[in-house]
Amino acid sequence: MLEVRDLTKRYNRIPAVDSVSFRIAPGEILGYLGPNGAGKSTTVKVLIGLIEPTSGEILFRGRDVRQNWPGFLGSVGYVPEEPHLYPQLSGREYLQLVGRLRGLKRAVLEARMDAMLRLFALWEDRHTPLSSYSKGMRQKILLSAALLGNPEVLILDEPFSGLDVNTAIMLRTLIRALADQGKMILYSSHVLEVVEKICSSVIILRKGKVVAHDRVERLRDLMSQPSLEGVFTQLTEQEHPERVVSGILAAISAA
Amino acid sequence: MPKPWNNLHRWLSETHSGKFELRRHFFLQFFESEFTSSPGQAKVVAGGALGVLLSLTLVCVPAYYHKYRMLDLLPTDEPLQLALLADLLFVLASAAVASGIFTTLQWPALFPGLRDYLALAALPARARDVFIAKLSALLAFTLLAIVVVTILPSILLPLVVYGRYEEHIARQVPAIFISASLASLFVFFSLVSLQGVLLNLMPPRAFARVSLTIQAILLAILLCALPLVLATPELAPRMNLRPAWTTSVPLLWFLGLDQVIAGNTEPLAILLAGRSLIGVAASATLAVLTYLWSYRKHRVRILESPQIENAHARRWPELLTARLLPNLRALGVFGFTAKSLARSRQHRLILTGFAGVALGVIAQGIVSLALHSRFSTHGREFREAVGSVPLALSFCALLGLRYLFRLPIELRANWLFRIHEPGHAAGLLAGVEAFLFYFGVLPTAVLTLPLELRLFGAASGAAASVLYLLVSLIWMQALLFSFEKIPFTSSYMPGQQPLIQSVVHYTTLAILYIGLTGSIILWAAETPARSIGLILVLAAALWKARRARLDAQRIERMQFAETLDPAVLQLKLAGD
Repeated sequence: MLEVRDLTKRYNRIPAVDSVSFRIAPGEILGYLGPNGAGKSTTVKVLIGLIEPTSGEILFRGRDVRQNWPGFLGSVGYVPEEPHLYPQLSGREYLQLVGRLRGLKRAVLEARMDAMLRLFALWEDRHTPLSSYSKGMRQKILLSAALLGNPEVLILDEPFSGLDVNTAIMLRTLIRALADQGKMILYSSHVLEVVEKICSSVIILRKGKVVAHDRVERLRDLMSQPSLEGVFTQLTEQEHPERVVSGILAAISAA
Repeated sequence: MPKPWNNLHRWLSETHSGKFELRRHFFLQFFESEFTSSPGQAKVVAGGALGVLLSLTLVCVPAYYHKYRMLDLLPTDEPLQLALLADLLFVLASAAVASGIFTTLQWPALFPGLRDYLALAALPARARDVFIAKLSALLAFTLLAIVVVTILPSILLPLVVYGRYEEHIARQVPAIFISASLASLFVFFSLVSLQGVLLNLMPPRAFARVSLTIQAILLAILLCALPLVLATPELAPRMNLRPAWTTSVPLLWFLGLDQVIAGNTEPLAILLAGRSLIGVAASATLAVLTYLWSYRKHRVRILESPQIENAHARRWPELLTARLLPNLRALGVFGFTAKSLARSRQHRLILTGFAGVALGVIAQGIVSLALHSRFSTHGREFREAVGSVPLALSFCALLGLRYLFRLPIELRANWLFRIHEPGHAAGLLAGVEAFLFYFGVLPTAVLTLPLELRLFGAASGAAASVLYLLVSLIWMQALLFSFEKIPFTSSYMPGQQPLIQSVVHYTTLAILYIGLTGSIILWAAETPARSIGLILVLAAALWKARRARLDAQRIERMQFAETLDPAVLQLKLAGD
């Protein structure tokens, strides 16, 4: 079980994440939603130790992760929102680096690495520098890297970004299969259709605060909305699209 | 703000013609570098360089003033005229080398690159306009740099020389300024022409490789020339010689030009001045011709040629390093460092620069020896000069590598290391240490071993090699002290200490490391007892230094930023 308790991150007293709490049980996929700037990426960065929280706790298997960060991070696979990779390395070299940083023995690493490269259809390009990879190929490398250590917790930030339709379908199935194996998955995305299909429950953030945390069907029923998109729009109080469009049109035609 | 500045500022903030905007874009690009962690830091570096120039001027002017006052007291003007000629040659050589280094560093930006074409693709600009805009922006930037470098010596040298033997300041100032500027332009145009010719003659794939090699060789030669340039004033007693080959040395053409502008009517001076003008005109014409000749071809080549060079999948380096480094995280950092260094053009270039400086220091020692007529292969001076080779190489190689490690490659990708470093800092740093050992210390020791065996004989040579190795290892430990970074993963904040302070600091260290330590090793290598004694002392010092470093580096987190994100600083968003 991964549990986040009262997590708060403030920048100069302005909260980016404000008292967020949630639990992810083994086999659960938790959708983590919110408009831009709601605090999703900040939460993810705190979870993987890139930034320090102002207050709050993260518990893994009932223990505060601060007692054993290396142990916790060893159990986490992470796909970041932006595919920032080392362009000078080839796909294979990047996976090899990740494997070594995770302490995977050569035989295990090579077998997993080669399998990933073949299954994600990157085998032909394994020696090509990442600078020449398309966005989708980079995303596949990030997914392979996240799965390389067979982690118990998966933190996926827009994992479908740039993927072709076939790979996206495969990945959707894979995420479900991983959850069936007992992995805990935090799934952050703006693509609500996919979230609706694969997540067991969702959290919706607005200005750093949790405004909804429940199962998707229950939220739809409670808000009397036909889809998660309707629930999301209502809860996050987005500006009316028509008004924004007319504003843009007015701006570009202004003298 | 005064009114003209206001008007200029207002004029600059307006949008002008497409061609002007292209020139502005390329001109401003020269001030930015991919190494700096925030836009505008290059300007800080340029300001620092200007500061160094000014502080060097403040140091040099009193010394030169004193020298010329002494020469002014002599009964004849010949010593002063010879010293002045040597100093003029020094100014010309400095300006030419500075221009050469500047152009070589800008080598990949001399012609529009792939990024320029892609970024400008959607804009209504023709390829020819892009090309011409790049050339004119490059020329404007070069002229600016040349003026910055030449203006001060052009004014100050005539002022300090002024006296009863040299009264024509009004002539000397433009003479030095024009000749030094033209010497710099000659070097600039020659290098642009060289790249233009290569661009037109080489096949695309070969061009990338050959161009990089030539850039590295040029940089090494130019940096190697720096210490020799500094020794130019020592040539004063030889300045009255007029060997026939002087007419073939471009630098002397510009000395002739200076003399002619200053009023010298000697036939040799007139001949040299003529050559200087022909040289500048020819190199400029060739540069413009190759530039215009290649614009269409270059664009097609850049946009349509396959740029991808696959990484070689050789097994043996992997197996070898895996054997040498059992710690997987150290192995990861070692491999990452080696591959990044091998594939980053900028980093390799800087390393070549450090190699150039090392070779320059060695060459200067030997040339200085030759100039002072003590060139004997059996003399102590010669042994000292040659004996300094391993120390000069290891000093520059290790310092260069450590400096390179601070320069990031794709900084935003460092999240990978940041999420994997907790609890494993020691293993990761072991990879850095191993890299410095296998690529900095060991090659130097192996390469210079035959030299030491030849110079000192078998037994003393072997002892000297061990001593050099131990000293290099201690230097490596000193450089690694408080270096808590994975190479290429931390943001880089240049100018943390004034450049002049760094120069003084490292020059002092170099003198101690190469000069003093070299002399001690030479002394120790003379007898077995001394050698063994010093080996034991150095081995103990190495053990102690390494232990102290490892103790100091028992840290929780490694460093991934040399400073807070400037945006965060500006907005005062530092965390609670």
